[in-house]
Amino acid sequence: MTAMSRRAGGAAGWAVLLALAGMPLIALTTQALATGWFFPDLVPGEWTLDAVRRIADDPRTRSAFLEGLRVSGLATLMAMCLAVPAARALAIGRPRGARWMALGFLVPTVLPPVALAMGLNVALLRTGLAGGVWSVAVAHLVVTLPYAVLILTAALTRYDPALERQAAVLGAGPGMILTRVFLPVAGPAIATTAALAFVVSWSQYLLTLLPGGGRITTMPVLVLAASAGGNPTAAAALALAAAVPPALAILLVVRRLDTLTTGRHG
Amino acid sequence: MSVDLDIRGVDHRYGRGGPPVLRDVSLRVAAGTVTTVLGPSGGGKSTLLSVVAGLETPTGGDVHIDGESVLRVPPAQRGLALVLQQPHLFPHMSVGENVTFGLAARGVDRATRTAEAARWLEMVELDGMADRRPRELSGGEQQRVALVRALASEPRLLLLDEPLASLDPLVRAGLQTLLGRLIAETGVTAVMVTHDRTEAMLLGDRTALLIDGRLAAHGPPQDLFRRPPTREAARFMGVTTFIDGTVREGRLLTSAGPLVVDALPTSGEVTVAIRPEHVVLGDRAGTNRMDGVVAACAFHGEFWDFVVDTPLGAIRARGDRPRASGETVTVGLPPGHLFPLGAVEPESD
Repeated sequence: MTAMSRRAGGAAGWAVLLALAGMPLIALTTQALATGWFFPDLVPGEWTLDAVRRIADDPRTRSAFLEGLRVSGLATLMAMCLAVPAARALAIGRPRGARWMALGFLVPTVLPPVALAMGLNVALLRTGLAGGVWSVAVAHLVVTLPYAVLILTAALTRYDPALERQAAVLGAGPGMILTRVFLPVAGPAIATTAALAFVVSWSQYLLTLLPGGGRITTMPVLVLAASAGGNPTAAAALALAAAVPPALAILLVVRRLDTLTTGRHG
Repeated sequence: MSVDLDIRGVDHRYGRGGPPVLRDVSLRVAAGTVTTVLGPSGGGKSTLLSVVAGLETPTGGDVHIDGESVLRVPPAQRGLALVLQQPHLFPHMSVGENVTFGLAARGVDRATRTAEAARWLEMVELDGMADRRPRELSGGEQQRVALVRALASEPRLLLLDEPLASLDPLVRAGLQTLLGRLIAETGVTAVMVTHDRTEAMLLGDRTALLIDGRLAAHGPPQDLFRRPPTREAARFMGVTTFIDGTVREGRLLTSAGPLVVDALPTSGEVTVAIRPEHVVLGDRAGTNRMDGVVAACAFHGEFWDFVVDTPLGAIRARGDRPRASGETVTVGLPPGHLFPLGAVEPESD
């Protein structure tokens, strides 16, 4: 591939990215700051910060934020606790039937979200776990874990297990190998995967509403409620606010994203 | 502290029902000596090192270090160091931290580790590089760091698995000398796997030849080179001409007539061999001379390599000038350089 065709490919990629991510964001921002924006006006007639101020002052927004951070933090933590050993086994240990095991992790992602949420809700109700932060976090685990395992497995296939053999022969025990070799070398890939798992969890609506029994309100739940209530300006302002934590999570690891694709560690 | 290594009848296969990789390998390495394990790829050399290091549990046999079985001792507690073909330096640590990783594992304090890193890096002419990252070093420099990382951990036994194989010839030659010097200075017992004959003979006090998972020969490298005991060992040591015959009245009777051989057994069926550089071509051919026809000629840089068709079959020879295919040439097989196979039994001590 020549340098010119590479540059052209890069420009096309950025154009598609802008169209996919930038345009909805512009429309959402415009909606959040508009009053009286009616068809066929290209831009709103009036601009105001009222909706933004209202949602910023609303204690329900703050509560939904904190609830979302708790749920998604927990779901991410649990997902990573399971994903790291699973991905390690799949990528380094290459157990028999690894391909089928990887396929098994994908099953929840192919089920329709409604069916998944209802099924989980029934299971959680039967076990008496429904209605709390933990039950919602467990429900989120069903979608975060597959992504986390698959992304991390792909990243860890480039991890060099000979480093651990070297460390072992040089006298390092399992604890030292974990803390001085595996975690520092695979850490960037683990952090990036965790950020992506957090993003997946943060955006869950049905898997929050049903297992939470209506008692757990996160930002997507609030956005949907505002949207259903016929207040597009408030919904847009809430949606923008809801996009902040995932954006921050991605920004935190954006410099590490290449650890998932190029095998660069540390 | 140097120790004896005693590998006793080790068998190994990967997975149930897998083909045997090591078959009844017994090898003794005396304290403070270097044994080079030579053999073709897939012969089981690296597996043998993995078994000694504790990274593989053999399916049979035992490994004794300093008189005690270590089969149940985990790798971290065997007091070994292993250098592989690739340096496998810890990418997130500085060069100095890499060098002293083994000392850190033993709880040696930071000040001592810093001093030790500087001392070892100076020994391999990498002074002042302790704070660099491995990716900032060349391949040869990385392998030097890997060597001193192994030695700085003060191993009882140093295992080297083709540590110079991935380097270009110039760097490799320099590191061979450096490796020999480091091993001599530290006095560590070492086992080094290589598929390079020259390297094996240059660095080994003794050389073990491992072919198809079996110990084909073991002894001083000079003996293995001059008198390889079996046909397969001889082939690996660069011998390509084998002549079958029967010993009668002190001479070897072959299909093409009698041959004079200095070191013949008193009777029986015998195969004798000769190295290509010992075959004499042209007027200088003396005893055991015969006419042959050049079948092939190839330039190898330092010499010309010939295949000459003779009444005894194809004989490989070397010369200092080219000869045309089809040219008739006189071939001489000096009696002192013809050696019978099986004259030196492989040692299993």
